[in-house]
Amino acid sequence: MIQPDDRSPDLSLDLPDLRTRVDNDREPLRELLRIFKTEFPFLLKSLQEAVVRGDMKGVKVKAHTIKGMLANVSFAWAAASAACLEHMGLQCVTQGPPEELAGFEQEASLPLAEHGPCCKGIVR
Amino acid sequence: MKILIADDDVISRCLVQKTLDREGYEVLVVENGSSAAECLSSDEGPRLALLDWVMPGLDGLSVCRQIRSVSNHPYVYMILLTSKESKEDIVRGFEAGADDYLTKPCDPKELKARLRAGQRILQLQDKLIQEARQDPLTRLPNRTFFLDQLARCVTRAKRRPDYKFAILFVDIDGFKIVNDSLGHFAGDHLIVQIAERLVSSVRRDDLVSCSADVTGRVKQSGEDTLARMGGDEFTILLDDIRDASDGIRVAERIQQKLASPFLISGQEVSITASIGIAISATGYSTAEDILRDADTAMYRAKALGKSRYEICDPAMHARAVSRLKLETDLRRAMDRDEFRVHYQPIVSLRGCRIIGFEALLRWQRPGFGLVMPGEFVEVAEETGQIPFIGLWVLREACRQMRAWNLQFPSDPAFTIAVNISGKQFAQPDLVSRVRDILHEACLDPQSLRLELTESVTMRDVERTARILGELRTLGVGLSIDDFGTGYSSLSHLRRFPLDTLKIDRSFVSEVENSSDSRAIVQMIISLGRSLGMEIVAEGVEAAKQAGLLESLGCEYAQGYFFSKPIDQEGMAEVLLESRGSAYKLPQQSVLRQNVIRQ
Repeated sequence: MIQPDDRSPDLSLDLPDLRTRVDNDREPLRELLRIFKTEFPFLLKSLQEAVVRGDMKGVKVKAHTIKGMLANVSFAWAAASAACLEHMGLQCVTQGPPEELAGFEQEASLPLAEHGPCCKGIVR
Repeated sequence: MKILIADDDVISRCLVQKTLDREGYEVLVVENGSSAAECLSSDEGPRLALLDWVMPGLDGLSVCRQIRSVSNHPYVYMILLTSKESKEDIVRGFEAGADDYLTKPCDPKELKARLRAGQRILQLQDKLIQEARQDPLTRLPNRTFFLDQLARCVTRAKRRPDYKFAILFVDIDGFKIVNDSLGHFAGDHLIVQIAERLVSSVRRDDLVSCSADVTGRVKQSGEDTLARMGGDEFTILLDDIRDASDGIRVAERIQQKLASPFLISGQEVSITASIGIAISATGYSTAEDILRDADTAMYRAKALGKSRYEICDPAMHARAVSRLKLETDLRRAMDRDEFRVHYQPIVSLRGCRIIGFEALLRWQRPGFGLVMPGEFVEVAEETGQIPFIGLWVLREACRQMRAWNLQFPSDPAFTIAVNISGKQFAQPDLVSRVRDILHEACLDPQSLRLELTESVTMRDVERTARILGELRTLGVGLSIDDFGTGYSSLSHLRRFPLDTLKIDRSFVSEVENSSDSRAIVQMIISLGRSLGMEIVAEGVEAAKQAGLLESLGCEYAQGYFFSKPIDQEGMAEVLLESRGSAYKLPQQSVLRQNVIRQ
């Protein structure tokens, strides 16, 4: 079980929400974060490539997947940022995505940075 | 319970799967819509599904639509997983066939609660389907389920010429007697026990009976189905047989299994079954067709003495088709004005004068010519048309009699005899109908004679006496037709206000050669005279018969010797020609050759 002391610091990760989602079970949480660590960089890279190519359909699809993944691991701010990119892809807005992507990358750097201490805090 | 998760997001899949694993579900996981549709469409596939809305290729909405388009598949409860929250999107999801939706990321408690709701709905639905397709008494499949399975077999037989199946239609002989004597509860008990024995008769060594599986699962080839159609009727579908011998084997096994007595309410009850067999090889386009042929064969088995089986052969099939056409044509005959009344004169044996007529029904059936009542009256009785046809004949005969009595005055006036069938006599408003018809035709009631058979009058003697009394009060004459062939109680006969006894043609035809027939005719004449009745001999075909009947004291006769039944115009011609001789019929040879028109 996850103990109250294991709470993550005041970061963008909503840890109580994530704990609820795994029924306070440490094992699945560890597995989720491991998957996230593996999958997220690839997804981010493919999103970046779609933005560079101006492939707005690709932006929409990749941003949607990233949004879902971030929401599932309770990074609500980053998920909201991905949703903006998805919306741009949906609307085929060609002006703006690189700037939006830059903003998103900033948001997304937090989950990537946070998942380390978070895991250390949760998973012994 | 099996559940499918279809999601391209690995984390989402993982989260949901963990939750469901903990709940004890058997979880199947796929990453795209096409795999989801394939999995859900398969036999024994999951009936609960969590479908991500947005997936590469086939999305969740398309999967819902695809699954809902297959009508004969067991119901799948589908929940869409979506981040879409607009009302329009939710409506689109439901319209595509989704049963519920969950917003991502899923809250585990909400997920579990919604799945429990889905399971409850599936269980309720299964129960309803089960009840709709199952006979509540025996727990066997019912008629609906059986016809559904049969329709699949008919379709398969159309696709595969080598595929054969058989239907056995089983009817319990004398079940009504058990029901009437021991009561309905005992009857139900017997039906349950019969069903158990039938189940054990049907199961073939190498095949599995699917009699209990009525939830909608697609029947596999080679499975037999036993169903209760209602009452004491059962049907068996033998799937994928080699030939008719497979059906015969099962029929013989059923007879054997039912042979030992049943213990019902502490009493031993013995029953037998009549079985009709129809084989798909004959070629059928609908389930109802082959079922009807099996039913026809069963009726044939009954007619041939019960406790036996009969196979529907091509001739029987042809008879069934012919009977169906007869029924259809007969239903239209009245509206199409195809019925006719022919008239046979009744003559006085002394003087050979026409004293009246018997009205006889004919049917001018398109493509078949003039059809005699023997070919259609039984069907008309079974289909409930006979009272209407009977009233039509009565109305037509009365109208014609009135016209002839005006055109061809006679002293006494001519009478018209009209047959009344058992079903007509049973109508509660018979007397008022007769009164109305006489009134419409302006016919003197004394010109009408209603003819009933012995068996009709003896069914309910009290009622017969009352109805005949009321008819007599109207002034209508009453005859007993075909006298001597049925069972009559002389004491009852005395109570009925009858005017005429008609000696059946079977005695008349033998009166010359059989001393027994002659004695019976003599006895009927004596009986009638002693009761103050007139006597009419039917079916007189020869001069010698006419002479002999007259010598025995019979006053009146009808038959081919005098005239065949002829149509209205023909009879009017006879009356016109004989008017000058007080309606004395001309020389027989002349009449038969020149006058009578059939």
